[in-house]
Amino acid sequence: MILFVEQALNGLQYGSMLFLLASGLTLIFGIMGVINLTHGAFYMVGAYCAAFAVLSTGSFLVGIAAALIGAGLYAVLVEVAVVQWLYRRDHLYQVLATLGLILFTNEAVSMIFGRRPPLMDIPSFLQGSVPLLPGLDYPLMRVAFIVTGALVAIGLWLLVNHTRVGMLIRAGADDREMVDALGVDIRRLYTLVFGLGGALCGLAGVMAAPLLAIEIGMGERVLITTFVVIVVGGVGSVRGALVGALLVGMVDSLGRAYIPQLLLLSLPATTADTLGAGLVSASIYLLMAIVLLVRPNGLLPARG
Amino acid sequence: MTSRLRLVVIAGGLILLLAAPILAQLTGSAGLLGLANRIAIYAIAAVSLDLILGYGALVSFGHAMFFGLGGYAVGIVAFHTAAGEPLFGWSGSNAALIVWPLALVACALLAAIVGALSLKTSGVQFIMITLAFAQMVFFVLVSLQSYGGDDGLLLDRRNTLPFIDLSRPTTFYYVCVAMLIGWTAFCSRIVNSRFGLVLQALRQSERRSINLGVDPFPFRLAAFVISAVGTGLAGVLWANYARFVSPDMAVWSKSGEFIAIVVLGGLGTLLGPIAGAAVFIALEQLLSIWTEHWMIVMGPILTLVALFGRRGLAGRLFGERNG
Amino acid sequence: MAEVSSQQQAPILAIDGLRKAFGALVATDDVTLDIRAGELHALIGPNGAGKSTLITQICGELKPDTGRILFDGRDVTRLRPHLRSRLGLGRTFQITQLCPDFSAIENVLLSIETRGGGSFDMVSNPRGNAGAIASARERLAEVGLGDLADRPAATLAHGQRRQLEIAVALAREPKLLLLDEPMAGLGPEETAAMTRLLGGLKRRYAILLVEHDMDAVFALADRVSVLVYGRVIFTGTVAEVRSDPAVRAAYLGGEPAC
Repeated sequence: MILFVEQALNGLQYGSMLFLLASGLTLIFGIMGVINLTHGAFYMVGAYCAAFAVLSTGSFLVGIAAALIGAGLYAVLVEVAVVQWLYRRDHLYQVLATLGLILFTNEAVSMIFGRRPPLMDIPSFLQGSVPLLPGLDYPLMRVAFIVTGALVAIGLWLLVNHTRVGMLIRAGADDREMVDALGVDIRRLYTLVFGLGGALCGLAGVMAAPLLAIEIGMGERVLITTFVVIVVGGVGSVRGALVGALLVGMVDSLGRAYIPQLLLLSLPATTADTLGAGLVSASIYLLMAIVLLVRPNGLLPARG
Repeated sequence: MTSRLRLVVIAGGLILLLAAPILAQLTGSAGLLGLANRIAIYAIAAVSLDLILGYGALVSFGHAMFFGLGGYAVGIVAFHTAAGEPLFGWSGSNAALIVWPLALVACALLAAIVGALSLKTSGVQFIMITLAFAQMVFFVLVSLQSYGGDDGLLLDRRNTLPFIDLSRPTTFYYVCVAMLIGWTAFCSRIVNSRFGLVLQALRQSERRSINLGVDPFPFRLAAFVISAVGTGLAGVLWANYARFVSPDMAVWSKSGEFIAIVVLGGLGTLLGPIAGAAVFIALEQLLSIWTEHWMIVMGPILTLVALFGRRGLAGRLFGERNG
Repeated sequence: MAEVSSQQQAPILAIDGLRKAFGALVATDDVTLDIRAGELHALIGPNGAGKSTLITQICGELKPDTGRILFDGRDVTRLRPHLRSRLGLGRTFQITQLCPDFSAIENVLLSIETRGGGSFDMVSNPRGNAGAIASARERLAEVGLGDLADRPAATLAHGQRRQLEIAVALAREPKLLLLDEPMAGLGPEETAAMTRLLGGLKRRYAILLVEHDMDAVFALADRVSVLVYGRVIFTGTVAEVRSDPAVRAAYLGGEPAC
């Protein structure tokens, strides 16, 4: 039982991270119609900037700032240089163009920061554990992650539904010309949304850095999962991203914990091991396949 | 005029392909033959992908799974044959005439399943679901500890053909080239056939095609399976060429490479992707000799191809779409 | 329901109590009408009356909430669009839907090739089928595009694309031709040519003509139905429609929409 709660919390934490990544990605895809593979690269850039800043100044807060600014600025640069030409193109070209950017970013980061992966410790004020249940001490860092995710979710909800910018974002998704007619520069709006998405990736990067390995290629691993999240949740919908992220986080976490054991109950050890490893990694894709077959537009699509 | 230019370019390309081993001997560079061989193999995959990407407008981001499956089918059979351990009761075989069709059938089956499920979706969902299936295959391959897992699987020797000694590099190369020519001719036939007419119509106007009584699903599924078999063939040949297979054959960026090659060469031209494979692989080779950070050049090249390469090399040269 | 008189056969198309609502907007409001064999039945009405919605339901791209659609006596209300086409329902689109990379003759060839739903023959080249090619050329000549057979559809002028759409529809020997505003965007000469073309098709096919151009409608139609706010407010001959006060008030009062 304790194990279950702990695994569920892990799922919640993973889901938090996925939400930070997915919310930006789904807005970018929903509003601008661009499949942006570089999203994972922003996450990596954020983590590296944070690690670098923390190693130089020793302050985690500076690290957060570095991540947000570094990832956000890079995102804006990418948008202005490349992505803005992709808005009306077929998905094929968007995929290809942003794939090239990933390769470039990976190589550039390894050239600038070196190939040895930097280590970032959990900041002192987030070290240790919190007793959540009798017998369950849960790491404070992970709790902080979950809280961060929740705060961002609330913040985004407020932004999209209760601010002028949010209204423009929603309008821009529906009717680009109308927003133009309102005297709003849609180009600036798109750049803003893209930069916001990048900054959110940076936040995910700095929060994940103490927990996961910082390395070249960390973006790709999480990118595909992020796409699974937005496809499951429904593209263009932040609510969908939240639901999708939690669902995927849970399935992955609980799957990792329980699938190998379940298989061992019914299959011989070697088969169970092999199958288990494969199934664990494949679990979220199976989830996506099932969801897509039942609801081709995802669970909570933006506008049906 | 363009047909004449076309014939000249085709003839030129064929001559280059056929003369590669001679050129390699003349320049004393064994690497040149290997390069040409890799080009020929990737070209088969590229032509196959063009069938659905260029003619069918289906952006499959998971085609590398067939490349991997084709390779591993050969690798696994070779493993069991060499080790003397029966595979599901079968003692194995080294005969290409048995193993290669087996591998292709496996790819066709996988494609039938993946296609049947994926083609119910479209747009970004289709891209993502094909990617997801490829990831599943990748992770299955990684988890196959008995077949090397992450490290991959070495093959003792190449498969055997009657009368033809595949272990000789030049001979094997010509077999690959023959496969390339044969497969391209086959795909060209398909594209210009009655089936191809419907497939192309579906790409140009799905609404009109449905209005004319066409059910898109079976046509797209058939094209998907055929293109998968071709990509699987490339995987089979790769396994024999390198005598090594690894899960990286099915990694998602491999699918991206294939897409890049087709777009670079020219969507919907069949011959363009062959040129695309040549340019891409040669470029990769050149860049990696020049600097260990060659990706920093390769990346932006892909991006530029995507931004400006609406018609690719072949498109600019020939100006038309049909194969 | 269908009226069978001694002079007329059962209707080719019978729509009974069709209704389609999008939330609070009722686009199709209890529509009942029928098209008889050999008649040219025009559907007119102001913009936003629901003509396009009705067409898409007849073709199957949209499913009605309630009501029935009978085609040639068969209930096709739930039948998927591509299957309706195979039963003999031909259609032209308001915004032309042609295969832009194919030539004009290839577009018509496609129509012939797909009469049975398309073939899985991966060997024979349909462009080498002399019989089909000849038939396609006839169709093109019939609509006045004989000289432009080999031009890519994307390069054709607007009016020529409309003619091509008709050739494509005719190539399948349809039982019913659904023409969705074929005159839209045509100049006066082209309109006259199109009117002549459609006139020549009368009697050979049952035609449902959706149009704004009143001159063409009154010149061609056997019967006219008037659609206003999703309801059919009148069905009758041209003379009857012109003189009906309700129709005049709702639609024909001022200048006809062009």
